[in-house]
Amino acid sequence: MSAVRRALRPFEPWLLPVALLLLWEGLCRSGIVSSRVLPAPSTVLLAGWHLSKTGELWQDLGVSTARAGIGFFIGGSIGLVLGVLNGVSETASRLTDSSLQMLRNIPHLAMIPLVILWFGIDEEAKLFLVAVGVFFPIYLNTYHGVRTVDAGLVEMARVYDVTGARLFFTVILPGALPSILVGFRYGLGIMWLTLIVAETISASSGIGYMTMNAREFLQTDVVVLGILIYALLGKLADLAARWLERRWLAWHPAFSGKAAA
Amino acid sequence: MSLISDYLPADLAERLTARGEAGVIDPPVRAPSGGMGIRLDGLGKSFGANRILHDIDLAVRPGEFLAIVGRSGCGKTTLLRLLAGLDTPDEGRIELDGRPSEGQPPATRLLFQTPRLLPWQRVLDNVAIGRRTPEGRDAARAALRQVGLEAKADVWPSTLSGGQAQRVALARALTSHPRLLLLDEPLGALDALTRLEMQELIERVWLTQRFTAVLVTHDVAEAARLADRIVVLEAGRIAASWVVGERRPRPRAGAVQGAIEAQILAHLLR
Repeated sequence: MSAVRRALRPFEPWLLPVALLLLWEGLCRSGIVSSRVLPAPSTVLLAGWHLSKTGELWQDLGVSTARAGIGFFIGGSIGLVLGVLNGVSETASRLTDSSLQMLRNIPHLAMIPLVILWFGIDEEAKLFLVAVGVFFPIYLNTYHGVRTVDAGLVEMARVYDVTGARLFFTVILPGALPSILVGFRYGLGIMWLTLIVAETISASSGIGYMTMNAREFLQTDVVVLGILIYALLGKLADLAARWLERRWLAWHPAFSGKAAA
Repeated sequence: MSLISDYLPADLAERLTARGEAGVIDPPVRAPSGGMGIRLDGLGKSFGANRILHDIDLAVRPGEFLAIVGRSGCGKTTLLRLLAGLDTPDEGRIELDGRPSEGQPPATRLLFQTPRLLPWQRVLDNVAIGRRTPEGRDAARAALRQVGLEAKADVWPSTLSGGQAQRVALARALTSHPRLLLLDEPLGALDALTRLEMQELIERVWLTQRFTAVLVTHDVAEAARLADRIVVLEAGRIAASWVVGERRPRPRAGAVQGAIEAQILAHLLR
């Protein structure tokens, strides 16, 4: 009995979503819910199949993923570098941190009108917004991580002649890594959120555009498909972040589960 | 093994050994000292208006094991931090091997109250810290063997017990063959049995490598167990000192060290 339960264990998180899908399908099939309001999962799946056969879906997916990736890379890199710089250098922190903290409080999506004026609806607009959105969580968590590295370990390194770049790479960066990865994970969420909004408001390609376009033609199934794809992409990004945590924080009892090698 | 030299002060024993007058000497038991000589001249340190240390005059022979005891807040840890170059003195000077010392002293290692291992490096890499070369790793492995933890080379520090972690920290300090080892109450957080084992280990290592050792502790029994000489620090200055004439390796509870322990306690608690 317990062996069966143990075998079923990995599927337990899927029980609820599958049950909901079945309920949804049943409600649509029986006509209780109109397909205009909410198409059945099977209809959505079919729409996905058709769009992927014409290649439309893959193209839009590719465009969106590229925007997300490039924007994340730009914003994340700047956030990481500035976070480390301000965490290590008192002077740099005095010069820039309070300004950054001020900018942080502006919701970056509020800049959309300005960004459209600057860049039109070209790629730059989307990349800019994603980069700005991703920058802050990564900057803040990197800064905090570097600042809170155990001072005792830094002092130990000093006594053991570990200084300069070696001090950074053996003590400070690994010490800040758990916090940096929190920022990374948070940034991934913001990345998709920003991209969805940006593509919905102004774009001529991408999943957000596909969804908005479908709305014009009352293709509810494609709209729902777009939303589901976002959910899937978000989950994939989260899995990637979790994988990085397990890989890079294997030493951390909270992440490895079985720390004993 | 009881040798004549074991009963003599360290410097005299060495001089005799050099002339070949002390008979058979087993080198691993008492290697010639490569330890550092220390001389403190009117050393003082203040934090703000608070005068933590003042008028410290002290000389430590190469290879000597010196213990500094005192109540908490008497300045003993500050004195050790000055020796380690982690703080700079406000008055007086430190001479190491006859030369004035500034900043980080060479060939000096410090064993902290807590192990301070890097949690993201495996035990062997922690011991090899500062030396990532193959020779460095070999030296680290040898040091781990010396503290009896070679089997733990590839585990994460978070899986070690408190005593094991402190032994790894000791191995890390020994890897580079220091000439001066500073010990800042390194056994304070360990349980009583582990502490006795660690004391034996520290004495054994010191007898083999013959570095100069300065131990700061509030545990008078530990000081008497390990040190050649004990200095009592009170209110930031040296109040008294004792020489412990017990043989090496020391018995766990020798009569000589017991008597000295009683005298020091009487002094501290008077």
